[in-house]
Amino acid sequence: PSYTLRYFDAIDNGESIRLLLTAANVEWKEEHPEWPREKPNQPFGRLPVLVEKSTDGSPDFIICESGNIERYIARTYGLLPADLKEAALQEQLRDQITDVITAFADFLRAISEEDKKARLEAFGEILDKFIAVYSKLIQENGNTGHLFGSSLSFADI
Amino acid sequence: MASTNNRPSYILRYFDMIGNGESTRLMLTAANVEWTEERPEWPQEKANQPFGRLPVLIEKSTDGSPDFVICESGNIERYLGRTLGFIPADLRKAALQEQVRDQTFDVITSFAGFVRSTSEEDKKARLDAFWEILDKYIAVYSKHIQDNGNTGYLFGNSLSFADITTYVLFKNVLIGFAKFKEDIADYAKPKLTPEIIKLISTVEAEPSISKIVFKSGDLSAAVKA
Repeated sequence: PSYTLRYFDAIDNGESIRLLLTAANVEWKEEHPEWPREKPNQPFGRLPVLVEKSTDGSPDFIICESGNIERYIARTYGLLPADLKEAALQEQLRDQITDVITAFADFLRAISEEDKKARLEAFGEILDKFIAVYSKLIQENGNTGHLFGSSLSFADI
Repeated sequence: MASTNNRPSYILRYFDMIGNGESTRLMLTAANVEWTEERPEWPQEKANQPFGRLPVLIEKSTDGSPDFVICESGNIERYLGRTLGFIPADLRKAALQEQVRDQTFDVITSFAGFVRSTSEEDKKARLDAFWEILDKYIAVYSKHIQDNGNTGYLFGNSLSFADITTYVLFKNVLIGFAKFKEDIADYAKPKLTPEIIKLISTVEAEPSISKIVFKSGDLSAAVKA
């Protein structure tokens, strides 16, 4: 199958998808929908959206939600372990990254000075926690620069 | 409690609320596995959690191997969903259900943004954003329930991961969130469609969860009142 990623021209919640599609060595391209004009044309009014086009004429398979897209590609192409426990340890890292990114997005959306200050502090705090936890994990994994095992994983991306 | 049949047992560490713990409670109950709940003193126990947050799931093995500990509510729910059979093995079918869960999380997180806000302008903006995404969720999934034969299930004809997460979203909105916004049900109830109400009553009628489903409230009654 080949893939179309619909997203903005930004890193944000699209870059892991780009890297995973590339690491999976599949045919893929990107669309940058006019926004917000194309909002109603998306399954849930948001981006990213992944369109999987089959080779046998069956209808396109369309999914959204960035974590869901990333996990689908990673599982399909062997970038997440098949073992459920090993996969969960990698998926929780991804979810924590979402928490960090969301904390910053909350700061960007804040209007009043007091809310901006509170949201920025919360972002700093959760980023510090992430760095502490995963620096330790990299160290405990032999300090090779990989979080798990000895080759590029979902968690590393 | 010793495990009686070589299946692992589970501990859920969470707060005494619906929030991001209820889907896990329902799946553990429906699967008929041994599980208990811990309510850590907060924030004293924050530093003792893997990532300083709750929920945390502990899976205790029967063969003496170390506990398996994971966090992040979606991760916990997907791990249990796959292990206990609520998520299909087919990756495409699974993805269509997992996106439902991720969207319920977007709605819940949107309300959490309102709760955290301090200024009046931020509170208003965050509350507007919450209603907008809730409206979207209701529209998309009412149609989905309709297209699935209007049986009250989102997929197929038995209780799925997606049904549980949808039920828990509305339990949060109509019951759980009242703690933070007393009149929320007054605004939320008129938005419910017959399809969503049908899903709620279908889930609450499931025998496999009857033991605990009403502990956090009777949602079918709440939507009728």
